[in-house]
This record gives sequence, C-alpha cells and structure tokens, in this order.
Amino acid sequence: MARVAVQKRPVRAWRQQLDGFVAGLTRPSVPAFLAMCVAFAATALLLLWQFSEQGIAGAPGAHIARSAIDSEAFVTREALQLALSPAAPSPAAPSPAATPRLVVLGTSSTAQMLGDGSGLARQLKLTTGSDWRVHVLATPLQSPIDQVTLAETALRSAGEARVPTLIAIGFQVQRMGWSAERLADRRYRDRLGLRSAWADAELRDAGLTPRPRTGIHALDIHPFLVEKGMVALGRLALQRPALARVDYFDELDPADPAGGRQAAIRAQIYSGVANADSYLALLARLAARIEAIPSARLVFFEETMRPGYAAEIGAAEVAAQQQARFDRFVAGVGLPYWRLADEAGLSATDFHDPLHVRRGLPQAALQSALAQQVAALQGRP
Amino acid sequence: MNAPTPPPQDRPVDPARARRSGAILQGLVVGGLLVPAILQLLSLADGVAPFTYQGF
Repeated sequence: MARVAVQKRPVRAWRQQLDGFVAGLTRPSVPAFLAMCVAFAATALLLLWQFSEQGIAGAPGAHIARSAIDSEAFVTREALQLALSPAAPSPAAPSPAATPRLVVLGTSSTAQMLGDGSGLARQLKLTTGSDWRVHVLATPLQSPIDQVTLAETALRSAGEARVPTLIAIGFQVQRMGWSAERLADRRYRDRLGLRSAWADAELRDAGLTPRPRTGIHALDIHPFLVEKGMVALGRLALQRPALARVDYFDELDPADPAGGRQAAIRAQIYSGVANADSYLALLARLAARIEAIPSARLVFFEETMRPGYAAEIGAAEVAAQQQARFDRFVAGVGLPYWRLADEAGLSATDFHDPLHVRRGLPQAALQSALAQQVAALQGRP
Repeated sequence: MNAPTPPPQDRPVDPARARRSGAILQGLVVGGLLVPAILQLLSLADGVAPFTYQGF
C-alpha cells in the first residue's frame, strides 16, 4: 500500500514568536521570578515613598485619597504641607511668605460651616485688612487625639518660621464624651496618616499604648497605608488625583427614622459627665503646649447644633451643665471661646440636620462671625 | 536585463527571546499586583476597621 507523505506546512515566524511569548508568559521560570522580585520591590518602594511625609505633602500625595470625601487623606496632606513649609532665613527676617495662618480643627459640623475655607479667607481679608491662609483640618467625628496630632503637625514649622498661627478648635458638649475605651476603638484610632509625640503622650496618659515607631513614616502609619494604599497606587498609576469635597454633609439624608443618631448624640452628652475631667485636662495640656510656641495662639469656638436640639433629645439639663463646665474651663485657662451661632443669629431653619448648617447664607453668616472674632482678637494686646 | 528576484526568506526566528519577554512581562504583572494583594490581605488580617460616618 502506497504511503502518502504528509508534508508539514512551515510554521510562520510570527507564530513561533507568539508561541514562545505565550509560553514565557504562562509558565513559571527563573526570568519571570526575577522580574517579579524587581516589580515587587519597585512597587513597594513606590508605596513607601508615596506614604512618606514628603510624599504625602508632595505631588504623589494628591493621589492618596480614596474618594472626594476622604477627609482623613486630605487633612493629612494639608497638615504635612504646613509642617514641611520652609522656615524663615533668619530670626530677624520673617519669611516673606509669612502670611498669618488660621488652622481650624473640628468635626463634620465645622467642615460644613466653613467649606473649603475660601469664603472665610475673604471675610478675614475684609475684617482684618490682611491676607490669611485658612486651613480647615476638620474630619467627621474628630477625636481629641486627632486634634492634638493635627495641632502638633500644623505647628511643627510655625515656631521655626515665625509664622503667626491661630489654632481654632471646635467644641460642642457631646465632644466631652470621648472616653479612653472609645479612643482605643480601631474605627477612631490611627485614622490620620500622621504621628505625633504629643498625641502619643496623651494616649499613654489615657492608659493606651501608642503604636511603636520604626522611623519609616509609611510603616508608622500602617493602618492609614493599608486602608488607602491600593487606591493610592491605582490613582498614581492612572494619574487621577481625587478632588476634595468638604461641605457635603448637607447632601446626606437628614431623616433619622430609627433614632440612631439621636441616641448616639444623647449618649455622648451623658458620657461626657464622667469624661469631662480627662477631656478638659487634655485640652489644658494642649493649650499649654500651643501657648509655649511664641508665634501660635489657641482659641475655641462653638460647633453648630440646631437650637433646641438638646431639649428635643431629652438632654437639655445635662448639656447645660456640661456647657457650664466648659465655660469655667476656658475662663480658667484664659482662652477665648466664641459662640458663633448666637452671633450669626442662626435659627432652626438654617440647619440641614441637628449638627450641620445649610449651604449658603448660614455658612456665610458663621464665617463672618468667625472673621470678626479673629479681627477683635488681633486688636487685643 | 534585471537579475531574477530571489525568493523571500523568513528572518531567523529566536523563540527563546520571545519566551524571555513573556516571562519578564509575567513577572512584572505578578510583582506589581503582589503589593496591592498584600495590602488587601493585611486589611483583613490586621483588623483595620475603616472609619464610617455615623451622621454626627
């Protein structure tokens, strides 16, 4: 039987190349392993650099926020930019860029009240006649430890650069409810990408153990890095920085049908009865630290709460007692306390929900009241 | 009169080079994805609880 010779068709060159490429791509090999090690090391180093102090404050830091409402990321970045701002060339010659700074610390109520700070900067220019740099370092449910951390970071260069810096801290009676247990809660701890010796000392004073330090910033803030690192790398690769949205709280649903928020605020007001001493002691230590910096000054202002809300939730009496304790405290330490909502003449209709004012006129009225207080403070010796 | 055109010849193929390119691409992709994967695992294993806004 005659055999039919089967003639193989020659494999084309491109096909051989493709087969080889696919084989390399899909099979484990030494070059693949080496390339993986290189890529891993490069990506890890990129992440460490992006989450270093200089990285967060610089161009790569613009990509760290997970979303436009990621306050912790934006506030971390702004505080580090303040900390790393250049010092004056000599003690006799203040920095030419030594525009006075107003650094505002507070919660979502403050964020909603001030927005991005540009309106307040305009009001300050009108009332004081000079330019101001306004830094709104407000984060939702900001803890006193966060405030200590932000104050220390924002003031790091203030003494050296001799830039007049006014720190304004928002207060409302339910803020006295920060117990040591609540401060230790993972949901509230280590939210910022910052480390502070003042805050570590306060944590130890509260019986808590601060995270150990390695000297590498990215590792020292590892909860912040773990939470935001993946998105930060992705945004950096795609060159898509997030743009901050500060006063978005008046877009949230004001209804509270289950009464969860009402119960939480009430619980915090009552919790403050037992925690007021430790809270006020922390503020007193913070005040002493800030007042020790010649170019820095500390003031308190009242955060917004809808008129009559404490009575609505059955906490009017306790809230009044706590407010009186705070009034005695600020009088004792000799620091200003500004009741902005009263001065702005706000009514219940100016509020979107119990703690946040509406955008527009109520914001402008509060910002104007704050600017007038700053101007009056400047006139004092 | 022009000389006859020689028949086209394939360039010499080096499959090893293509395989190496594929291997390097594999390594770069896997190595680059390893860091986000570790971050994701850490977020689960380390109990990092992201803050969620509670409306007050």
